Amino acid sequence: MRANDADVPEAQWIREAQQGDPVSFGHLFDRYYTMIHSFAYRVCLSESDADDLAQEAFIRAARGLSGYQGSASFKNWLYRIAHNVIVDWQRRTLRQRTGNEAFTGELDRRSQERPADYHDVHTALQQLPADLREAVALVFFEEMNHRQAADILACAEPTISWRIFRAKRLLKKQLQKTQPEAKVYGR
Amino acid sequence: MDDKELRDQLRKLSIPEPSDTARERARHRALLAFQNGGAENKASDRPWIRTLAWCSGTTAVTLLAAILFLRSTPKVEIDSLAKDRETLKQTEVLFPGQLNALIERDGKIRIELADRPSSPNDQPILIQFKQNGRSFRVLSYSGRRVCVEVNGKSVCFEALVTGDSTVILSGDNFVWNSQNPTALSGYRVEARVLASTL
Repeated sequence: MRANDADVPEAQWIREAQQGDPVSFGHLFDRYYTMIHSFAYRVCLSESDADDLAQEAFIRAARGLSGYQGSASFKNWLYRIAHNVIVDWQRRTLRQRTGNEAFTGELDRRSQERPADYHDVHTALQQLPADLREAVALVFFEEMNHRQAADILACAEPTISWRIFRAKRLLKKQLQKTQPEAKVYGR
Repeated sequence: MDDKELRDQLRKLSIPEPSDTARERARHRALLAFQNGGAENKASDRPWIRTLAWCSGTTAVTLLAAILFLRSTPKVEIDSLAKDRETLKQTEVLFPGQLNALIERDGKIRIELADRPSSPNDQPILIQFKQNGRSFRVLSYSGRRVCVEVNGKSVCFEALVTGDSTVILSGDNFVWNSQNPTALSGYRVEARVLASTL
């Protein structure tokens, strides 16, 4: 992104892109691709799947941009598209795999080079159902409140609160199991 | 483990930067979807737009046919295009193989030169950018890279002429062609080959 791009109001890019301007759409892509890729990675826990999911999210955004009316922020609108893409991915994954394998993202080559702590967290997140992982991704990593997360995931706010509660319980249990107590408390 | 410790633990999940290959592939495919599907969806989402587009299209075709019937390319335009071709040719003599573009805006002409001479020049092209009475023109050759400032943004592209004399502008984020013209940053674009037979 060029330096002066930061000065251009996002609303202008959106308006121009809705009028068919590919350059403005390219700017929106540049601004949000990494964010959507990170969200996808935190849910699917696989770099190659995150590549595919982020790509699919932007393809759908490109096709549906004319329908964006500004009732939600553009960022949240993209998150919602990414959530729909992830839901479709989960359905496909469920069909292709069985039982507990369903949501255990595979450690790909680059992630195998990371430190042990990374693998503990990765493993703990793998144990969560995907709907809890999505809630964790938005609330813990993107630091959204439960209301915002509920809007994106198209569910009620108490549902998010319940998912976060369950996710925290499961994650703590899993991390305490994989890490000796001294490792968790001792530093 | 309390919530704070849990958050600290979760932060250890460093997020990998998406690879350049994945990013470029995603950008390319999204832009293709934007240019192919986006426009179709825009019209199909609202039936009245489709009707309006159909009526406008019919009117435009009728008007175009009438104009073509009444007169072919006006002499003034032919003179202007011949003048553009001559200007480009004369400038090229001064900077052989280095002339990327002549950009005419607000009565001033800017010369865009490449760092070093390249292969002999191909077909000359005229590209016009128009928006609400404002306009500027670019004279260039097929295969040359041109950068222009549009609404405060630098937009770079290569202008290419196909076998059937269609002009394509291939940018970092877009592909424009004279068969299926789209607006660029709010500007309507017109491009044509400055054929020597004019």
